[in-house]
Amino acid sequence: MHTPFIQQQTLLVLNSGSENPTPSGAVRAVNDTYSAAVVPNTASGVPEQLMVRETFSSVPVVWQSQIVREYRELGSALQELTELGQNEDWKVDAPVLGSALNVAANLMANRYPAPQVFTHGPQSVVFNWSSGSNELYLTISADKVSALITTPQCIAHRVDFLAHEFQESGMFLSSLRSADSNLQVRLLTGTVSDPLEPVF
Amino acid sequence: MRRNHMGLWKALMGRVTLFPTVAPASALELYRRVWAIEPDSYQKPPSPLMQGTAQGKREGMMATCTTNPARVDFTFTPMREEEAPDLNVVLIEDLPQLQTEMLRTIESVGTGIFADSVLRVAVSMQVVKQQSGFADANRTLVELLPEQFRMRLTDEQDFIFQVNQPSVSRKTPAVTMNFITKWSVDRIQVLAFAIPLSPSPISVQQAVAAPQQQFFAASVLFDNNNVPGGVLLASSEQSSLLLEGFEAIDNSIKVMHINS
Amino acid sequence: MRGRIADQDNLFRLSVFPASFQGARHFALSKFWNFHRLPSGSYVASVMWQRYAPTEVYLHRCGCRTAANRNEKVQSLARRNPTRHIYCGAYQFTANAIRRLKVDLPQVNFSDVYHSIEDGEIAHSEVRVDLDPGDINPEGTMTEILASLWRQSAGPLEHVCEGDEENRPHPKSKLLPAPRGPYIDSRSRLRRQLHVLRYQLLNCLWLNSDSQHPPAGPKHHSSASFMSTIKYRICKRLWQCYSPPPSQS
Repeated sequence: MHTPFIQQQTLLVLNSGSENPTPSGAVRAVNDTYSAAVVPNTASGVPEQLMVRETFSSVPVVWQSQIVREYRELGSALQELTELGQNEDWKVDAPVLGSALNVAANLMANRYPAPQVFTHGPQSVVFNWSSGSNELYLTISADKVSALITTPQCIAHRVDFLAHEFQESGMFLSSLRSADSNLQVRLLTGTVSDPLEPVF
Repeated sequence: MRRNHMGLWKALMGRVTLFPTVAPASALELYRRVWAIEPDSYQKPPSPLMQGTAQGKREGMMATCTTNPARVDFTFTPMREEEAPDLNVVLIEDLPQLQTEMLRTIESVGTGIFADSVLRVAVSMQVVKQQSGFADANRTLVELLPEQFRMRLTDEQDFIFQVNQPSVSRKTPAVTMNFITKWSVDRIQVLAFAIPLSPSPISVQQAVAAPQQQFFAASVLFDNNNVPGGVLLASSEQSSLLLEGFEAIDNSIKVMHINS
Repeated sequence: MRGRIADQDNLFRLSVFPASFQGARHFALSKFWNFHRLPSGSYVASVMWQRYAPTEVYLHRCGCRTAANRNEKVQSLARRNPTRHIYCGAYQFTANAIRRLKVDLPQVNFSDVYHSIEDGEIAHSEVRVDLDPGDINPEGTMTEILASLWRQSAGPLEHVCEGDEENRPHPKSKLLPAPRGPYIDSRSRLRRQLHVLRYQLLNCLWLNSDSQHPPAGPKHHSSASFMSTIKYRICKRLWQCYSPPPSQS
């Protein structure tokens, strides 16, 4: 079967460090500044020091605050699926939620845009990204993840792995690349510079 | 008595991190289990993908447990003394105390709090030395750099140099460890806000008008962690790898003090 | 086989959701499918057969009834704050798209769609899929199936049921255009009217027989039993019209 050739570039910076890339400990880039604010404690009246981390990244790919906002909403949407009534068609089992949150947290840490979500049964949720007419699906069950890429013509590529293997984001990306189809997927968008974002 | 902060390496942060494969218990519960005491404050996550935080004072430092579905951090940061009215930057003065607390945390991890659901562990520490400006900070850092990396700097600003020297773990041969060191010049600003007792946000004008002081610091950050290998780590392996990372940081700091 | 859904016949997947979904930006409403796993291991899902929902009007009536029935059921089971369901519209694909699954996807052992009247809804049909028992990740395979069906879908045919107008914005605005574009009814006007007449006749006869002889047990009827019942009723009526009166002794 002929597999189409898709010309897109993968963008991901693999980080060997344990630095927390979420906004309360945002990715350090070119110019890190720390500010310590002396704030009176409203309860005791005694000043307490807060570390205010200001971050400025000269080459970010997406707005950090936008990513956080999207994933906050995604987290609420996932939780809603487990909180539906027992008789609801779209209810999802609790172990699936744990696995989906773990995958989503890894995606957020690697600055992937937040996906759309749907289900087809209680034992999994599906994360979905569309790029033009191509689709990327991640089916997350309690212990497994399945990555699927489709084009308008066919199902181009599918890889299955264990849920905990997803944390190795390099593996995830390499699993999307197929030596046969020479397929690469662009998962980050935009080239907007962040303004200074004080984080209390 | 005003302390002379110049010329001594102090800690800005010490952290033990675990990367679980399933969403962990709440920050409140983990704080209790690791440090065997109730935190002073707890903020539950506003959404399942956001961070939960439990925080309390511990041995003169601020101890914080933060959780999100893919990582848990136990962090020690400086705590300001109640009677200090000035705008000096506050650091963790007692480095041995910080190290003792980090070791205690690592020991607690080894008791099986995370069972076998952890893929990766990390231990991190940042030490800083106050300087008068960029040139001084650059000079201090260049003297610390290993011989093979030494470069010529004068008054260049915002210097950062990071290197990872991975190697196979001595205690768990199937695991490769990252040993990351980052040398950088940091600018630290201390701001004093007058916050009314009724809750209200701080305006930009207030932030700009607040009294502030800026400090320069030569900073060295250590971040030692294992490369995830697709295999889950048993509790004993978690604490063993954390200890190995911690010992490497301890050795590096001893060398820094000798050379300073 | 009589009553078999022809390969080129149109099927419609209804989009019915809890009202709370309309506020969530991250739900891909167009792609939700509800597959039940039977004890036998088969996966089944519901669709509507155009033969017994001959135009959009009839199709949307099915959709509104489905949402109303679900709301009734949920209300009777939930103690408080029952979730309200809203019908948003439907997506079209052909029976062939289902049957092709067993050819295109190696993990699918069997795939077909049958006419199966359920809870009085005569357009109701059942999609059935059997996966290879050795499939290491059936959930991933189900996504592959849905992705395949989505690629072959047209629509959406949007609709707002009576009583749902106050939902602003209505969740139908979140339905995405299907990959094959809008659904176009290629039947001629005459053909469409004939199909409507056929449906009305059969529906009338079916409802008549159903009310006089309510079926025992589960309310499922295969296409074959439906047609048999209709033929029996027609023959009985004809016999009643033309048979001689019984002679008196």
